[in-house]
Parts: sequence; C-alpha cells; structure tokens
Amino acid sequence: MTLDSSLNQSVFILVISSIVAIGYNTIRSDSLDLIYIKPDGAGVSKLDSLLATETILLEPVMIDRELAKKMYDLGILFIDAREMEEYNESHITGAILEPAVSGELTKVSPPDKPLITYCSGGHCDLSFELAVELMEEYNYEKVFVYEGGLPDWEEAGYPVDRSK
Amino acid sequence: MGRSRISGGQVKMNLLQNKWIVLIFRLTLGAMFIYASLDKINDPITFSSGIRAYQIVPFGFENSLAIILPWLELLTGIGLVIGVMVDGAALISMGLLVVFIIAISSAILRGFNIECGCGLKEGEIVGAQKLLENTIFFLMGLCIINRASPKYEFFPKSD
Repeated sequence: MTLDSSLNQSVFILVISSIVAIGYNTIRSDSLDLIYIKPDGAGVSKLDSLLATETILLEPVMIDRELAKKMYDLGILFIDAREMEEYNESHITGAILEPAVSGELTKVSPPDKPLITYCSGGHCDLSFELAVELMEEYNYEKVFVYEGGLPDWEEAGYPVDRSK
Repeated sequence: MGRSRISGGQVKMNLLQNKWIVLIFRLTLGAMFIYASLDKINDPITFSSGIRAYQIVPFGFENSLAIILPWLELLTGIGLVIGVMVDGAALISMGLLVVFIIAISSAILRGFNIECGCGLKEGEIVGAQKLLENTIFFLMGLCIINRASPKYEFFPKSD
C-alpha cells in the first residue's frame, strides 16, 4: 500500500489512531470497556426515571406488570379503585380501598409520595379516573395506573389477600 | 481574439486555492481538531456519556467511539498543522464533520436539548450555530483537499 492517495492516507491515520487509542486506554488507570453495558436492565432505569424527584408528571402514567411489581417491591402504596365487595373478596396484598381517599388518604400517604391505582384490568376505567382525581383534586404528584389490574397480578402469581 | 476571460467564479476558486489561504485553513482546522481532542482524551468517560445523550450509537459502541474518536481527531489535527498526509487528514476531517452534522441535526430534529460534547466549549447546546460551525469547517476541508499545489507539506514532500 502506498501512501499517495488520500484514501490510503486516511486508512493509515485511522489505523494508527485506533492502535494508539486502544493502547492508551489499556494502560490508563480509569480505562473504559470497549463496549458500554447499561448498569441495570432497561426496566429498572425506567423505574428510576419515573420515580426520580426531578420527574414531574402532568397526568397519571400507565404501567405494566413488571413496573408494578418493582414499585410494589419498593413499598409503594397500591389503591384498589373497585367496589368494597370486590375488594373484600380479594385484593393485592397491602392495597387499600378507594373510599379511604375521601379525606383520609393524605394521612396514610402524603401527596409527595407515589401511588398506584388498579381495578379489574381490561376495560375497567375506575383506576384511571381515580388516578386523575388524586392528581387533580388531591395534588398527588405521581400516580401510576397498573393497567393489567388484579387479574394480571393474580395471573403472575403475586401476593393477593383473600382474608376478608 | 485569444484573450482569456476569467469568470467571477474562477476568481473565487483561485482565491480559495491560494497557498496562503489553504495554509490558514489547514492551521485553523488542525488546531480546532487538536484542541477539541484534548479534553476528550483526558476524560473519555464524560465523552462517552456525551455520545450516549445523542441516542444514536447502537450496541454499546459509545465507549469504543469515545476512546478512538479523540485520538483520530488529534492525529488528524497534527497532520493538518505540520503537513503530514494532508490529503488523508483533510478527508478524515470532512468525514468526521459530516458525521457530526448528521448527529447534531438528528438531535435537533428529535427535539433534544443536549450538550454538544464537541470539546470546544463546555456546556454548548446543540443548535443551528453548531451546524453552521461544522459546515464552515467542512468547507475548509474541501478547500484543502482541492488545493492546487501543496505547500509546506513534509510527507508526501511538497515542492
């Protein structure tokens, strides 16, 4: 290979740069891995960004089973938007019933804490309506709607309370 | 009869191929690349996260790019300044600038308000000004590669 043509020269410069760059990276104390690996799975980083204090939600955010479970594991309060009879029959373990919202909820969970609402999944709108109400009328900052609701939760085999 | 007429366009082309103009372009473009490379070589971790902000590089290649690109800029810049493999260095400069222009445009089009990560000034946000700068640098590269007669070049040796 002669170094007369501009293309050959560019390839030469590129090869030399790469060798020097990788060599220098290998010997330096704070060397980088050649391939960047995300610190955690994508779901976790989405969870972190949703829950970050800098994140401002303008309306409730729909979440899937995976995110709902991660938030559950973090101890975030679940609110059952269905009727009392349905709640008494079975609900997500630790979840409280919607009527508690009428004034009492702020004592259990202040408006700066995130909440998750759910109902019977599918075509049920109660959880979304409740979430909007919580954000608009009770000034809750972060309300998430677990789209799949109780049927999806049960299907995954996650904790359900049937004691009442 | 027989008198040669020089059009305005030719005058401009001749001016841009003037050996002094080309030398100034070489020094400017070269110095810019050298300067831009130094911070990135010093801190590839910051540069890698700067690249990541563009969300354009697949398969985690941000790190490889953050390691190699600054050295490529440095050697290209040195080549332009001291006159070694000027053709190749000019070609690489133009290639890099096209990549930068595409990356910045795509960030603007997607509404990203991210730092340029260009290494020239800290905290510069992508925008029309960066596009203009890069376009001017690209045109300098074009003039260098189209220069009429090489001057002050040591390899390959100029007249």
